[in-house]
This record gives sequence, structure tokens and C-alpha cells, in this order.
Amino acid sequence: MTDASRPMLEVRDVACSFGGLRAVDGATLTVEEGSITALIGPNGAGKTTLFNVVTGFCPCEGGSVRLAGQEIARWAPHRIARLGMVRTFQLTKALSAMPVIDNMLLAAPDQPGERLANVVLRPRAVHARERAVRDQARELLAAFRLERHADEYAGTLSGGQRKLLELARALMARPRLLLLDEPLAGVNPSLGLELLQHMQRLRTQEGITFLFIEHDMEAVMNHADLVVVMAEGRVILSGPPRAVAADDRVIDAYLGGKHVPLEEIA
Amino acid sequence: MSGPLAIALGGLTEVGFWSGVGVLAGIYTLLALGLQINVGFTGILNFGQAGFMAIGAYAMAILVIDFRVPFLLAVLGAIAVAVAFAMVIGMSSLRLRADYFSIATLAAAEAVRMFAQNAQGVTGGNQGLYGFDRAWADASRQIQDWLSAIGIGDANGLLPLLLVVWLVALVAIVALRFLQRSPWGRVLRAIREDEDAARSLGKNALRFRLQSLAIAATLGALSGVFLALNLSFVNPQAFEPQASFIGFAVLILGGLASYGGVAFGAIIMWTLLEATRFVDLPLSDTQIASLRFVLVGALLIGLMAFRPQGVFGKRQEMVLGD
Repeated sequence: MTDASRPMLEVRDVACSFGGLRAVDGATLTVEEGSITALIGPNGAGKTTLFNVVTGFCPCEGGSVRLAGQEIARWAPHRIARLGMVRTFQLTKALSAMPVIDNMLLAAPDQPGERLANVVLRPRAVHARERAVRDQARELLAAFRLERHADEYAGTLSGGQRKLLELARALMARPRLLLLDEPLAGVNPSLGLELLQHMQRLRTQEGITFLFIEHDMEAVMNHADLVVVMAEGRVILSGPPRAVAADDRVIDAYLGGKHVPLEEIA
Repeated sequence: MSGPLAIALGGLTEVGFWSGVGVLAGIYTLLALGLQINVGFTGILNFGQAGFMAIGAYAMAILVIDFRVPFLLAVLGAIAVAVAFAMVIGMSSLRLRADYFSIATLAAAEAVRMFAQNAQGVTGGNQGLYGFDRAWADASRQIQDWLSAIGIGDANGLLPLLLVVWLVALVAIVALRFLQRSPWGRVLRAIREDEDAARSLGKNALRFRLQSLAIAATLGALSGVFLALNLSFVNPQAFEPQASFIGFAVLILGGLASYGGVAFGAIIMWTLLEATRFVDLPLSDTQIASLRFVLVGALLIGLMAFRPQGVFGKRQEMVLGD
């Protein structure tokens, strides 16, 4: 495969089960570098579990997960994050009892001060890194219009602001691939649009690849380059939004056989 | 005024009473500082702090008595043993959910105490160990000489221990505050808030929790060494789970996520526990001993009702934490 269009993420035949239920049952998908890929499917299709499997949060039963060519199946979550695949959660995980700015600083990689010995022995290096990261954090907060709240506890933010904070925080971790689990859920439409515009901008300016789970079909149709459809633990289809929207299998998956144009579902 | 109150006031004005309270408060400050870094800053529910205290006391005593190790080296050795034990518990149990981990720590601490009670060849069983504090007795006399040179008398010989235990406690508080303000401390707080969020941002949560537990074990071992010096002997009764729970009461009194609050909580706690000795009630000694804990319990309930964050805790962190 050439570098021109190498896949950022290749998932082959991964499975994950809870007791007797196979939530993910041999899912296979590819996310191209620099793309914005949407992962859709009815409730219970295994989308979030698939996120958990590829980011190391759920035990992976067989199969392979490659991030930019590196095999990462069964790696610990923190190692996967450090390699450049960073995720957000369906139920936003703002670190509520920490100030917004600390949420941001926390995510920055390569802080020597996260090692006890360095805190004592290399205070200068720790402070230097902290200053550099703080500037970067302020810039990002400004871009997400959160700078006014920098010193407030994250728990005082509104639900929508927390989603923005989670995205901004994930960006502090210098991701190559961002996995967003329902970034628009519970966000008002104008803020949602802003979030989608941020995704487009980050893709063009920073070259970040996106894979996002979303139920808002309008957002998926207008903003994704590629749509992957899951049902019952498997990927049943993937392709450009229009092609997917017109496919009968998708409509079957959502409605159990009744034919209704997808635009009406949205 | 009637009799009982007069007796109480009489006891409370004695220097000897306050140096005794001060030593115990210093010992429990060290113990509860370990709980604070675990419970208040990392979200680890450690119910086994008494176990680390026991290991510190016994390991120090055994190293001095059986292996003739110099006292200070024996203290370092005792800390090393406590940390090693913490790593064994941590690596086997820290992956468990918080409540299961707390049961594991409680059980481990009880296992240590049972071992101390029954391995008579090593620990002297219920007879305990003594004869480990000659080096300290010399140092203590030296400090007393210095004190009397500047005109400070020592009623019950506890002033040197009081000074040293609080010096160590203050150094520990300053060091812990310094660590807590560092990026390392920030990761601990993040793990307390949401471990999965921390892991998703590239933090190896297990490593940080093990380090937090190792620091708690170090502080627990130090408190055990001072307890041994205070009693002049080591026996299993000193390390019943009660010790961990008094540590928790100190923690709640002072407030979660405040190192300074721990010292305050320990002083209030031991003043209450010891001052009740002077109250002359028509009750037997065991009844009075129980009454002390009833009093402390009532105080904690009142505190939870009116100031749940403790005296120095931050209310916002408590409310937003959930």
C-alpha cells in the first residue's frame, strides 16, 4: 500500500462479548488518513463497544487493530492514546472537580513532571514544559470559546460546553486519529454546527483523521466523507454518504425491513 | 461548678497531658496523610493503613533487635518492607473496583496483625517486642539537655518525641503539597475524578495508583515507628483496624483533599479522645472507653450534617466530584 492513501485505522474481525452477548461480532472497517468517517447504526449495533475495543478499554477477542500500520490489539488504553488514537466518551467525562485549564494541561503529552523523580530533580524542565503547554491550552480554549471559564471548575460548565472541553482536551493530547462518541448528543444545533466546523477545520489545518458515532443523520450526510454502518455487531456496509443513504440494507437495519427513504428518518 | 468539670479543667491545664496528646496527634497525622493522598487525591479507598503502621513498627523493631541494624537504617528498612507489601497488595488488587480494593486492604492489614500475633518466634506474639529504642533514648536525652539549657522543662519526658514527630509530619505536609501541585499530582486528581478519562489521555493509571499507595505505606510505616517509640514496645493490639478508622475520622474531620486539615483533624481527634479520660462519671473504665468513641461518632455525624466537606475541605470539589 502506498503512503498516498494509507489507512489510518484498520480493524479486522474484532469481537467482544459480555457474558453470552456478542456486542461486537467480527467487525471489519478501514478509516483512511485525513478522512472524516461516520459510524452509524441502530441502538445496540455495537458502535460504542467497537470504540471500546479499538481503544483498549474492552478486551478484544481475536482479530487485529492497526493504527497507521502498527498492530495495537490488546494494548493498554494509555499506550494506544500515546500512539495517537484519542477518544471521547458518550457520557462526557469532564473532570468536574478540576479547573477547566487543568483538564487541558493534563492531556498534554511529554510532561516530564508526571514522573515523581523529575518533579524533584528537574523542576526547570517541568516548569518550561508547563509554560509551553499552558499557552497552547489557552489558544485552544479561545478557539472553542471557553477561555472565560479557564479557571472555573469543569463541573460548572453546561453540557454543551463540556462536550467542547472534551474535544479541546483530546486535541491537547496531539492525536492523529480522534474517535468521537456522539459528539452532537445533547448539544444545541448552533453549538453542534460549530463543533462540526471545528472538525472540518482540524482535518484541513492539522491533518487530523476523525471517526465519529452519530445519530444525527443530517450531520452525517453533510459532514462525513465516508459512512460505515453497523448492525448486530458487524459492519454491514460502508461507502460515501449518498450511496449509503440509498442502500436498502441500511433501511432494513434501522427499520427491520420497512422501506422509507433515509432522509425522512433524519 | 460541680466536681466533674473541675477535674476536667484541672487535667486539661497539665503540660504532660498536652504533650501526650501532641505525640499521638503527630503519629496519626502521619498515618492519615497517607490516607489523604490515597482517598482524598487518588480515589483509592485504603482501609489497611493500620497494616502499614504495624509493618513499620515490627520491621524496625526486628531489624534493631535481631539484626543489630542501626536505628535510622532500620527505619529505612521498615519503610522498604512496607512499600514492598504495598506493591504486592496493589498489583494484585488495585485493578479491582474501589470498594473491593478497600476490602482487600482491610483483609491484608488484618493478616499482618494475625501474623504478628501468632508468629511468636519472630514477633514475640502477644508479649510483643521491646529493647529497640536505646538509640532513641540517647537522642531523646540529648534533646532534653538542649531544651533544659534554654530553660524548657520536660514533665513526662515526651517533649523530644513530640518535637521530632511533628518535625517529620510538617516536612511530610510540605513535601506532599509540593507534589500535589506538580503535574504528577494533577494526574492523581484526574484519576480520582475519572480513571477512564485519564487513561484515554495516555496516563498509566495503575502506575500512579501504585505510587500513591507506596507513599501511603511510607507514611504508615513512619507512624508505626513513632508509635513504637511512644509505647517503648510493639504488640499486636496497637494495630487493630480501629487505627485505620481513627485515621479516617481524622481525615473526615480535617476535610478531604487538604493536607493541612489532616494535622488539624488529628489534634482535635486526640484532644477529644484523651480529654474524656478526665471526666469523672459513675461508669466503669470500659464504659468510659466506649463513651469516648460514641462522642467522636456524634461529632462526625454532626460534621457530616452541617459541614460535609470537613473543616478545611473544599465544598465545590465535593459537590462537583460526583
